Amino acid sequence: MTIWPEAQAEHLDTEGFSTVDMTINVGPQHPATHGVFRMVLTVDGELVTSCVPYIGYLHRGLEKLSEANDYRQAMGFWDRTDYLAGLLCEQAYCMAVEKLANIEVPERAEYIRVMLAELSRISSHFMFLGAFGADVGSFGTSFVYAFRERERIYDLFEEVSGDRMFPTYLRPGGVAMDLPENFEKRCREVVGNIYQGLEDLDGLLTGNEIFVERCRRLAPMTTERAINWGVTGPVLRSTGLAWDVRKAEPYSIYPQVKFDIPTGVEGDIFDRFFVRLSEAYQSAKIIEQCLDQIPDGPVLNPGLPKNLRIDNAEAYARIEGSKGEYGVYAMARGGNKAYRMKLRSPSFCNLSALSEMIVGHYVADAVLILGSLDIVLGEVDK
Amino acid sequence: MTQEQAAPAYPGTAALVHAALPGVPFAATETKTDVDLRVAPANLLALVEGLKAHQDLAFDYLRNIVGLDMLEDGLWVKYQFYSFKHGHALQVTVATPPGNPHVPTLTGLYAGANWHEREAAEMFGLVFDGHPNPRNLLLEDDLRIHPLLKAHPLQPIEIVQGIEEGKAGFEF
Amino acid sequence: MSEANAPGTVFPVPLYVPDFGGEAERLRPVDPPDLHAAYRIVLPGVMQTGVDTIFALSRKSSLWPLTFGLACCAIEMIGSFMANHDLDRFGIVPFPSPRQSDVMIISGTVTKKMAPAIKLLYEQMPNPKFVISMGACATNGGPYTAYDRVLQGVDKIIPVDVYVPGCPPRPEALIEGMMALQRKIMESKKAIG
Repeated sequence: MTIWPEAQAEHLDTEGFSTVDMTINVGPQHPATHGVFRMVLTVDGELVTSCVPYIGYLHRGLEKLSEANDYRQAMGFWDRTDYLAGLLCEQAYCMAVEKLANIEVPERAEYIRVMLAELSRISSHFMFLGAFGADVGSFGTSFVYAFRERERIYDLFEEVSGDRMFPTYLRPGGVAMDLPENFEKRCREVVGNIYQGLEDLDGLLTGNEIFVERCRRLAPMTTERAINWGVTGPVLRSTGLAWDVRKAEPYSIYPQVKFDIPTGVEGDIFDRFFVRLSEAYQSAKIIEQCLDQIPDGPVLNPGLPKNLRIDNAEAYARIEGSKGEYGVYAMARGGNKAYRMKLRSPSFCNLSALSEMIVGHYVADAVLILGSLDIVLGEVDK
Repeated sequence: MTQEQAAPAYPGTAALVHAALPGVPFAATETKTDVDLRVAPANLLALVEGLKAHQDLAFDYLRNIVGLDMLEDGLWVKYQFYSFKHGHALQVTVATPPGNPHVPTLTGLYAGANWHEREAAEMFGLVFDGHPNPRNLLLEDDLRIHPLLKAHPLQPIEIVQGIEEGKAGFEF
Repeated sequence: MSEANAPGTVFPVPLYVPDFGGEAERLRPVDPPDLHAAYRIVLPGVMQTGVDTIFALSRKSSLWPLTFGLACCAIEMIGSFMANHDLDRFGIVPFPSPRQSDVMIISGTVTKKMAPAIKLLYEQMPNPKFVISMGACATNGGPYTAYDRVLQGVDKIIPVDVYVPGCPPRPEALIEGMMALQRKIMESKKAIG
């Protein structure tokens, strides 16, 4: 065995090699970060010793622009926050404005809102399943399966409102216009496709030995730490606490539909994946019940003025967004524009726990842990 | 005194808080969704520690921290709490006097307050005393502007093509 | 084989001019302008063309975009790479590294915090490179143009070849943008080195 002369330099001490921790920049453009997110990892070999996240690369001024536009115009900014599930954000915003102005929503409109919101939630969970499968290693397969179903949901949204991602279909006080005549048939078709798609992704990932080996017992989180960090949504439910805003602080017509809250056991990454898969299934069941129960009637509160003016009031409306508790804090002080609107973003709070979760794991697992939080940067950066 | 009139002085959850923490002075109002407690910056830590520790209150989840620019009334901070054990929610408002926007930090009690306070600090110019990492979060590191203040303007939209003369739109 | 099909037979083709009536003047064929053909058939199965045409053909048929999704438009961009609106059939395959990609699709709002990173990525791409600005935000700031941390259009920092309007543009619109880029490459083949 040759001994190279460089190997006998002074910096080698007798115990072995002395190493220096390396700083890796997982930059804003990276195939594994879901959006423009940057983290600086300090690694000792492959083991992460510290992680500093940097956000704000998509800070677009949602809150400032909501103060500069009136109540109908501002909704366009809010549905672009969680851009994977636009209608959930619109529902939260409309609820906040309705609470501020004490506006009643007709029951048919509530049913329509819930159906479209659950479809959005399913579409967001499909995106997670696709992207998480890509992170774990099935680079294109799970993405293609997931997007097949998302395209079907987008087609349905286009039939209802004209736009695929950001329909701007909800209004404070109801829905802009009624559903098309063949909506029930089309919706049942799409729900059937969703069941099929969930089965396909389940078969691709859940029993897959590589997937289970990589994800089981990785980064478990306890419920106390999760609550202390303000983590909500599927990440909190995977730790074992069955808390869902739809059941704990019910809104809209959720008390009238039956659904379960899937929970995990250990709080590790596999549990988060499985909780989201089960939640998509539960949302499909909610949609079927809504299709059975939907009444006839008006879809927009008829007594609304065209230009909404609200006097001194404040409200905090929260819904179960696809990533966790999505809250809209609104304060009005006269006029047709809000005085302050703040987004309580679930991805922002989930992401703040990241540094604690990643430290002590390998670099490859860091990517998985970030993926399992299912963040969407439009929400994080507001 | 003026408190014992038609509306109860401590509606809803505020009555529980008053019973559990009699030493902390606050004023209670109701917003459209929750009960709001108004407290001075000096009493904030005592109130929040009591909210977290007392078993009837058990507010273990800090939901949200909102900064507000109330112009002549100074900068306000609103905290929103929730209790998983009892299922009740609460809002706490702290009004800082204009010119002295200092509020004690809650990162010792709630780890989630860290990022919320960083964001409120950079957007409004609030200072959270005792924060472990008071750096900019959403803005660039070296920027010292506060965009969400009412005095901060929006940027002008440039018009590249001459749409201001003639009517807008195409002629097909 | 009948004698009508013997090799060397020339079939007379009668000249047929349909009766245009009143349209005759408008429909009379005119002499075509003096054009350069893109290629010439020299022998059966052998084409002759200029090298710049070959280069342009190969560049446009195999554009590799940098996977650079910023915001909501990125979801529609990913959707156009997927099975429903397949972009792979045009030779367009997403590639993560800027060093081996041809096109950069700026999909989403460009903020002033992100702008140096975009400029660095653009400079890391080797020539010939193209930029497609997808969506309203990349064109001029979009709905967020009034906020002062938003860059009003990515063409303030890098040169853009194709603008695709929409918020977000449909996958078909992005495909049309790619087709427009392909036409642009073919037409300006002498200009690209």
